[in-house]
Amino acid sequence: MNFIGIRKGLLKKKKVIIPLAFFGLLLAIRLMVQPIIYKQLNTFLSQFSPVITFHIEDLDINLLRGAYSFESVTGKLKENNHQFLTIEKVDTSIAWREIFKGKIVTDIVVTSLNLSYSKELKEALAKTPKKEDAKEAKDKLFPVEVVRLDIKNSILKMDNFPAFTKIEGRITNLLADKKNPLSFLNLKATAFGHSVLKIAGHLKTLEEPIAWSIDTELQGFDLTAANQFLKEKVPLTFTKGKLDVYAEAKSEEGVIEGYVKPFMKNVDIMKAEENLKGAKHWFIEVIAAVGNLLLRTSDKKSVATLIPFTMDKSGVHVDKGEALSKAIQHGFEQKLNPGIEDRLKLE
Amino acid sequence: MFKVLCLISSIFLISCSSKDPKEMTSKEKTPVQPKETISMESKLLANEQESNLVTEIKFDRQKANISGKAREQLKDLHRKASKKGKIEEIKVISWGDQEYPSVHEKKLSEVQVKLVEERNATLENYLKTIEMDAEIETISMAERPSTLAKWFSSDDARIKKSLETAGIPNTDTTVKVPGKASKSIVIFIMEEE
Repeated sequence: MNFIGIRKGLLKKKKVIIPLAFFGLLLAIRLMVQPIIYKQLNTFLSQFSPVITFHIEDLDINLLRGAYSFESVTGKLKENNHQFLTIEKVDTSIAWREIFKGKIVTDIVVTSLNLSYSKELKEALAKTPKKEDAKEAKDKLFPVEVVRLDIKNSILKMDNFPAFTKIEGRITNLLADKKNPLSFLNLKATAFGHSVLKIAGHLKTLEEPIAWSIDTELQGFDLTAANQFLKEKVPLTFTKGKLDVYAEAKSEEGVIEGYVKPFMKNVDIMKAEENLKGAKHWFIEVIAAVGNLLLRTSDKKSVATLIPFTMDKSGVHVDKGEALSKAIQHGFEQKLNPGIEDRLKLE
Repeated sequence: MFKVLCLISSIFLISCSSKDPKEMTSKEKTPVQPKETISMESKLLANEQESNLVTEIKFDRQKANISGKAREQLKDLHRKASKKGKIEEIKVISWGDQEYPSVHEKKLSEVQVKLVEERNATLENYLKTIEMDAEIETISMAERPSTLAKWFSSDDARIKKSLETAGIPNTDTTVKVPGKASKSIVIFIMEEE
């Protein structure tokens, strides 16, 4: 008997059988597990909140890549079935680069998120479940810790107006520790169809509440592009003008402070027919106090100012006095410098 | 955003309604002395490298020597970094006196390429005097990454792509703002434990 030949034959079969068996097992697991998880997730997402419901159209599991993805995710308000959110895909995968550092963590990539933020949604979110319920939802959808979040090709609508499109962003080091306490945020978007918004920020997720600081820059914003958005809110229209905005904000121990530094160039404003007096909102009151001065501008005008603000549980507090003082200073004394001032940073 | 727009509109109107600027000739506007702050593009790049230790160095045209102020900037950044822990790597990204070459140009003139090399060398040599252990990587913004570099997604290629995404102008850009010509970005990257 040719024992060596028989042994070689067996070995060859093993080289084929074992991988086949392995892939077969993976496939079997995938086929069995996928529908069970899909059903459980959608049940949970429809019940965890009294005011909003989410639905995942398709769940895909890729065991070889160590990934799973939710496709065609929608979010609706239960009260009127109004859809406020669609997401083409949420892909969660093992962060292989971290495996070599001894960590099993995941990256999430959200593609084509389309969120419509409205007063309706804001009110619904105020009624949504406690923090613990939101955490439960997060743990159910993303059971393995997340170290990085990417957002691609997304849109934020405000009152149904596509205010920010082509949103691309990334947050890294979400699993901060004492040695590396900072998480890093980058965001870029197209504002109102043409100008570019850039945000760079840091977060300290170990602190309670989370501390953060952000720098924001928006350049070359055409004010006439905002007319459609503003027209139902304030009785004035920009007929021309460009706006650059630089802003910094910081939040520590729940108190937010910051400033907005707008630079407006070649602005012309036209008043609508409505009476400005008697309006209720504080910003309308400021415009009403100016009153007939709305139409006095004739020459090419540019103005800049720095508007400091703070925000706490009682609301937003704007230092209008300093804002006015800086505007006059810029107009007649010393120009304000365009750009971020780098004075509000996390320690 | 909307409330801010309304407030700045009102501020604009108030300031425009104040005295005619012609009446204020006795108070001439003080010429602008722009304060040197880090650009958004540098901050976005530093965030991508998971570092908040970044500075920008300005060079005089056609020169590669760094000023006393630039040395102080680097020393200050090094002090902040040393307080945090061990510095693993320092990235030095330098421009010539022209913007990053466009896809059509691919590479600036030999004069510009050499200037960038000298600037990188000056910064590297100075950084070695204040930081002995960290690896220093220099990147030249006088040329675009090679095809091979792009395929293998080298550091050079990734950083240049990040900067373009962040919005740096190139030699074909009409409006060269925010310009990076004659500047260098220096980023300190800390060691992870």
